[in-house]
Amino acid sequence: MLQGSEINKETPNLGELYQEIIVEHSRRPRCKGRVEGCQFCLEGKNPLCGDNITLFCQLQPSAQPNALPRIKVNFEGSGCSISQASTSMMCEAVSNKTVAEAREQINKVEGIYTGRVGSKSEDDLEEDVEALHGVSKFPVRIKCAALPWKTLELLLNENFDDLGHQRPESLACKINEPCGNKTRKLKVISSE
Amino acid sequence: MKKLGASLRSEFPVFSHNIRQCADGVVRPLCYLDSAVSTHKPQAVIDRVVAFMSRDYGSVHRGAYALSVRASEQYEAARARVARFIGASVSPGQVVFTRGTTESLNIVAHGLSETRLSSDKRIVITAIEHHANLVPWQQAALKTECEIAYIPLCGTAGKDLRLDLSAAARLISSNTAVVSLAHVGNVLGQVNPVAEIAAMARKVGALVVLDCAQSMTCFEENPFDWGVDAIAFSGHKLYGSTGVGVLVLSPNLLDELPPLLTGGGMISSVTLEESTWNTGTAKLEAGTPPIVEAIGLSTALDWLEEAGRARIHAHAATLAARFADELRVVSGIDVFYPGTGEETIVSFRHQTLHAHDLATILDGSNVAMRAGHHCAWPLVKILGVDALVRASFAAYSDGDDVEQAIEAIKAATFLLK
Repeated sequence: MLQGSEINKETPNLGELYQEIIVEHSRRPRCKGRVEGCQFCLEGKNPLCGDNITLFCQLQPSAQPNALPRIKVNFEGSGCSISQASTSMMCEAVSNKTVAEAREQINKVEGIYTGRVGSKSEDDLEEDVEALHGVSKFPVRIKCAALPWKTLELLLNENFDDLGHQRPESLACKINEPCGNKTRKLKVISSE
Repeated sequence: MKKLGASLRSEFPVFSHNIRQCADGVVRPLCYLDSAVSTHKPQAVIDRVVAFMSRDYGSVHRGAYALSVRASEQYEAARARVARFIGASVSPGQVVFTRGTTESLNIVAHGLSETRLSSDKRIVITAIEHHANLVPWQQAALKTECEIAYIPLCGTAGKDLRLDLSAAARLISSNTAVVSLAHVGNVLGQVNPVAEIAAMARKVGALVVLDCAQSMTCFEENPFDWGVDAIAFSGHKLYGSTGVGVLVLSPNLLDELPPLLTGGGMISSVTLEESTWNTGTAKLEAGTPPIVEAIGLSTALDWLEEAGRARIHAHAATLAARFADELRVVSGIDVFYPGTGEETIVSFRHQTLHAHDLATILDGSNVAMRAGHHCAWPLVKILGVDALVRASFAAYSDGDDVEQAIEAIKAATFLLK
C-alpha cells in the first residue's frame, strides 16, 4: 500500500518542541504559586484546549524615589507542558525588569515562538526562553506558548502607560470577565 | 457488499495523500482515529459534489431556467433520501437542512423558548452533553427564566458511566416542557437509554429532542419509533461534507417552531409593515441553503447504507474494545471506556503527560487523535480530569490502526519519561 503513493517527508522533529529546557520547566515550574493580596493579576485561557493560567504581578520596592517600578511575576495554572513551561520561563525572564523592559522582552519572545526570528541550537541559547523557537514548527501549539506572554502584555497595557508608569485608573486585581450572560443566573435543579 | 477496514481505504483518497516519513525514518500510513469529530470522504461523495457543481449547479427554488430546475430536483431528492435514511415513518416534508447539528439544536431550543418555555417550566438535559446540546438550552433557560436540570451519571469520577435513570425519573417532573439528550455520548461513546427516557418524558407531556450527531453512522433504528419529537445530526460525521446538517421534526413541532433565522426564502409575504412566514421546512431554511453539501450528503447516505450501518457499528465497536484492552496494560494510562461492547470511542489520559502533549507526540507517528475537553466541559470535570485523548473508530479503521496507535502511545510515554 505504501509503494507508489506520495510520501510526505516534512515531519517536524518532536525533539525541537520538547527541548530539555522546556520539559524541565514544565516538571519543575519556577515562580509558581498564588500571591494573596497581589497588586495586579490577570487570568489567561485557551478555551478550546483548556490551558489556564493566572498571573500575579507585583511592583518591587525601589531604592530611588523616582525610579521606574520593576515587576515580579508569579503564576498558577494548569495545562499542557508547553503552556506551563512558557509561563514559568516568562516569570523568570521578566522579573526585576521595568515595564518597558518587560514589553521589549514580550515582543522579542513573540518573534522566537512564531518563528519570526531565526533559531539557535540548544547549546547556544543565551536564555531559557529561546528554547521556544521549536514551537514555531508546530503551528497548532503556538497558542500554548503565547498564552502567558499575551496575558502579561494585556495586564501591563491595562495598568501601565506607554512610559511604564502606573495608570491612575488602574484597576488593581482583576480576573478576566468573559463575555456571556452574567447578569442572570440559571435556575439549576438538583437531582437529590 | 463492501469489505470494511483497511481494504476500504482505497475508496478514501485522503489515505494515499497522507503517508508520512516520520522523524525516525519509518514510513507510516495515516492512522486516523478521529472519526467522531469528522469522518473522511469516499470518492463517490467527492465525485458527486464535483459532478453537480460542474454540470447541474444553480440556486434552488428561485430560477425559471433549466439549471435551477435541475438543482432544485436534486436538492429535494436529497431531502427525500434523508427521510428514507431515517425510517419509513418520516416524510421529506419533515426534513430541514441546516448548517449542522449545532444549528439544528439551536433552532429547537430557541423556538421552544418562544412557544413553550416560561418561568414555571423545566428543561431536562444530561450532564454528558456536547456543548451543542447544552449551551442553547442554558440560553433558553436564561431567556425564559425556566428551570434547567441535568440527569447525572450513576457514579462519580469515572466509576459508573451510565446515566442515572432513577435521578432522571425524579427530574422529569410534571412541569418539564422538554427533555433533550444525546443518543450516543461524544466523549465516552455510551449509548443512552433513549426509549426509557422518552417514555418518562411522554408520561408528563414533555417533548423529546435527540442529538444524533454520534449515532447516525451506526444505528439503523428510527428514533421516532421511540417517541422522540426532533432529531439533529451533521453530514460531515456521516462521510459527507461539512456545512450541512439535518433537523427532523414531528409534523406538529414543525408547525409550532418559529424561525431562528429570518430572511429570503422563508417568508410568505413581506411588506414594509410586516412579514409572515412560509410553512413547512422552508420556514426554517432562510437564505440560500447548503445545496452542494446536501446533495453530497445524499450520496454519502447511499454509500453508508451500502456499507451497512449495523456492520460499521459492530466493526468499529470490536476495534474500540481491542484498543481499550491493549491500552489498559500500558503503564501510566487511565482508560475511560464503559465497555458494554457498543462503544466505538475510547477516551484515555496519561497520568503525567498532558493530553495535548500526547496528541502532538502521536502526530509524530502519523496518528491523528483528538485531545482536550471534547466540547463537553461538564462531563470532563465530572470524570475528574482536565483533558482527555480520544480514539474513535469508523468503517475504514482496522487492526493496523490499533497497533500503530498503541505503539505510538508506548513510545510517547517513553519519550517524555
